Amino acid sequence: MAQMITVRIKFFSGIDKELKLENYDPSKGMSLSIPSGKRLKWALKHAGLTDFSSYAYFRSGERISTWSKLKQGDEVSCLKPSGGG
Amino acid sequence: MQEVIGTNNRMLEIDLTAKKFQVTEVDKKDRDLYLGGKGLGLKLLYDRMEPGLDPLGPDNMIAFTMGILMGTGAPCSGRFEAITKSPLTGAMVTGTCGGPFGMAVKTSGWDAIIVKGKCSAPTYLYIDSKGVQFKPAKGIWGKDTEAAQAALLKEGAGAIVIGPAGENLVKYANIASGHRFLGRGGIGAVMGSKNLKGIVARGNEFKIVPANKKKFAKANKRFFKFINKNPITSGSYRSFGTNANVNLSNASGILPVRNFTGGSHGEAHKISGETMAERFHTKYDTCKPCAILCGHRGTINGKEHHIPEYETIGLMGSNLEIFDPAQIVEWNELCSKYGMDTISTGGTLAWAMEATEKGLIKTNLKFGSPSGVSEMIRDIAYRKGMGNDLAEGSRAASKKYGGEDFAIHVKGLEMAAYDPRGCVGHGLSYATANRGACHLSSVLFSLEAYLGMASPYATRWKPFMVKFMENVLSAVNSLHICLFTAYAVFLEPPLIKLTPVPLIKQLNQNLSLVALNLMDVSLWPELWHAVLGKTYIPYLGMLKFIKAGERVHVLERYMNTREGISRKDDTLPRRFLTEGRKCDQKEHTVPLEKMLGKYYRLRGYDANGIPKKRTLKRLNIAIQ
Repeated sequence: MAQMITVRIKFFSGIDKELKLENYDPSKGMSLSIPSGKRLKWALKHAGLTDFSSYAYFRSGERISTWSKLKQGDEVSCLKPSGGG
Repeated sequence: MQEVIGTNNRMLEIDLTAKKFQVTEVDKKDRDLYLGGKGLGLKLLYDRMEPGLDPLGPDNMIAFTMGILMGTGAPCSGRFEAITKSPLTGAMVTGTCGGPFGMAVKTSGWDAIIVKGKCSAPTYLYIDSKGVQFKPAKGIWGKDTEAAQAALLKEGAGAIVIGPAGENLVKYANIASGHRFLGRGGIGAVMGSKNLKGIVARGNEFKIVPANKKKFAKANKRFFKFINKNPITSGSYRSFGTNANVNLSNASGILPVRNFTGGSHGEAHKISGETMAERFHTKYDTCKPCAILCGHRGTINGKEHHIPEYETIGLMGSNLEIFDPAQIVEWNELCSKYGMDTISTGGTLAWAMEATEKGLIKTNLKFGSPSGVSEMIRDIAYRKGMGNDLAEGSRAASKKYGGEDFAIHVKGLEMAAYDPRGCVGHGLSYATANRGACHLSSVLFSLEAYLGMASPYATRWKPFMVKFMENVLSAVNSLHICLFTAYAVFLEPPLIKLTPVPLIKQLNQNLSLVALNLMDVSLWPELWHAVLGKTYIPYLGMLKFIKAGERVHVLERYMNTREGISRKDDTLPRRFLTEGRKCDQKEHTVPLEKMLGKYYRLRGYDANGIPKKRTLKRLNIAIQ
């Protein structure tokens, strides 16, 4: 059996509402327990996101793709893209 | 209504000292070389202003220029520009604004206005197609920007005014038009130094018609389609305003926190566009015409307020460690009424908080506490107590009291709300931008941090990217079409839209020369050519457009070097060069020296950052 890791996904830009998450706290995000070695894409599906190609994902300040492998304790922010102000 | 085909080609030259004006013609060669707008304004002042003059003296001039596309129905083209010598930086400053003044001037029959001299008493100007009337401003001098505009708008369709900050020569006073501002570099103080409270234009006298209606309509249709398809222009901005950037900056580690000591904060979501939209039930309140709709209004305690832009939220919110959106709305409105740039105000307040903490000055300002901030904003506007020193900006205040290491400015202009340690190419852009720590010179942070199209920490090819983006955006600013249209123009053409982002990142990092030249920015020059009835040759027309942008950028740089700007000024605050941040897993600083020399070589500057003669000659810039 694969070892389980815990990751945190923070949803912004109203994505939490699309997922119909109740009492969602954006500072805490959603904690997920997933098998070790899984990619972000897998975790997002597990969280209930179906169309994730149009969002931007960041881990430790750098943009990552949905193909990135997740590690124990990773915190990923999921947002709609924006430009500059 | 009388029709103008293409453009008026007429401008007003106003001498406030003599209370006289002159109608002159825009040189068509200059218009074509510099595209109009910002580029033309710089050229007009280059031909007329001597270097070394006092920015607050009567010899300084302000050029107001309306773009070629204004009034034609091109998307987001209701913008105008002001160009002058900045009292904050001592260099040239250009500012663009989406308020109604530009359209009123253009439809009064003028493409540009140049103001020089000084009125003997407070005055405002009334402009219509016949010319200028000089009117006493006794009744409106001392009034805030809202009250002054309300008075002037009884006479015309659009106005610009200064508030008390401009009258009191606050070095970062701005100019208001509607609820939009010519924000940066103290253009409002230059108007104040001339005893000029405002200008109102009658407007609605001429209808602007593109010379080639068919080609214009075709390009315009494609443009609107791109804007409405692009997830940034039709999604985030429309839903949450530019404040959509707060969570994005926080996630990418470039949000200014505590005078740029940190790049992210756990409470940032409280001041985000999403939170404001939900809490304040926001609705659109934008420039006109606008297809993006990024400006918003909201309701707080039963009263309507303007929702601050991202820069204001960053500089007066997270950078002061304030996460109460209603509080930032209040400070934003104070700055708007007094007529002060919120970026410089926020940056200077953050310096004052750190200087107070370190015992260099005595104020009751404290990071994380709103106490005393409203009062200090008022004291700055009216130059009272410590406010008098802070009205000079963070550079001057830190020279007087110490704390230059943490005065976050470049060339005297306070930094916008993107920490360059999370986007090092943008660090080079901040250091070399003509008007100081300006985020709009290259907007490289967007490619590096937000869009993931360039590695945020790599230096390879960054000088080339900065140069390319500066050239394109200088051209766009000369068209006076909103810079935000760049997301639609850059990202919607099929070639780039269908290329996966990681591949674009790889191409940009390894073959940037090829990658950026593959970008299709043809929509902008197509519109420009159609309005003037000129033949647009695909690809060559686009290259000519980018070269015109290069010409505008280099002319501005050359004008700045005549004011003494050189390599010594192309630097960053020490904080970014030597201090890492706790929010980074691996601490990063900006390796500026590694990029600067290469940037100069690409630009055709000498080792001291001065444009070479052959560069000026190649760009048809006459040496004075």
